Amino acid sequence: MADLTLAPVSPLARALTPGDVGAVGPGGPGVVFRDRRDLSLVTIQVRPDKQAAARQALEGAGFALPPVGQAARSGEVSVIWSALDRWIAIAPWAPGELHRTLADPFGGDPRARGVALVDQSSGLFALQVGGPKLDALLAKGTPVDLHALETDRTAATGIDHQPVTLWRIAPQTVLLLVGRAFAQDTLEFLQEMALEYGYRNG
Amino acid sequence: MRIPCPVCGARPSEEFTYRGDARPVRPPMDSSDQGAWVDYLFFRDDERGRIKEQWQHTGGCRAWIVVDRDTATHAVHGSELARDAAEGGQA
Ligand SMILES: [Zn+2]
Repeated sequence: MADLTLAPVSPLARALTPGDVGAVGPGGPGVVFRDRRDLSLVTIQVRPDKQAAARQALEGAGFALPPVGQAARSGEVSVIWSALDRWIAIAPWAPGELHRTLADPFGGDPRARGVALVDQSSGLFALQVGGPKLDALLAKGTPVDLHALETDRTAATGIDHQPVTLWRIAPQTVLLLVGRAFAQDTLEFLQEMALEYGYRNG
Repeated sequence: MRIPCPVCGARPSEEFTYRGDARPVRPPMDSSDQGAWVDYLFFRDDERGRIKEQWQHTGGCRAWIVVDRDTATHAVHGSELARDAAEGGQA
């Protein structure tokens, strides 16, 4: 059997080569794309009848399960609403650490409490999109009301027919979560739409 | 056409997947009444007017919802989570 070594590679390795592209003006690029592979992502899915207890357990550890369309930050860990009965915890931590930290408040056995914690760091991809033309760019791909998507608001929607989660982390910056297999496609769609503003891969 | 998702609010229909008439009720699992099963699985009335339909917010919160829609005018009169509709009796 041949020796085979697989090194982790970003799904955007080909599409996110550093540099400026398109109509970049003297004021700099209108949009900046950034690979956020440094983030760990864990989905938290909770049975409807177990949510009060789960919320209480997590609050005891300093975490929240925010209401629909919102994000809650607690130190380096953010928990964002992402779908019906589902949240995503995000932290710039090493693989496995976030999952362990979240399992702790459930006595290490979340399933027994109606809670499914799944490390999606390899399944979901986090793309950071920022810049003065952010909203103009997003408006080309998503039907959500971007005025209502204020800082620390989240939306489950679609861009270019791909289901995505948007979390506005700052007035001119969003974190876009998309299935890893669709990350390159989504980025290339956004890059093409951003040509008229000029964009930076950074 | 805009569909009011009980979770996300009004969104364009492109974010949703149509799942069909919400009214047929599955026969009991131990039923051997073949006619009832055939009717449940294959036959739909294709009515003109106001009916209850199942849609899924696949390009959003993923919830299954029951939409009260007029097939003649496409007017949408409301929606609720499918699980709530099921708990309230027959969707
Ligand atoms: Zn929804």
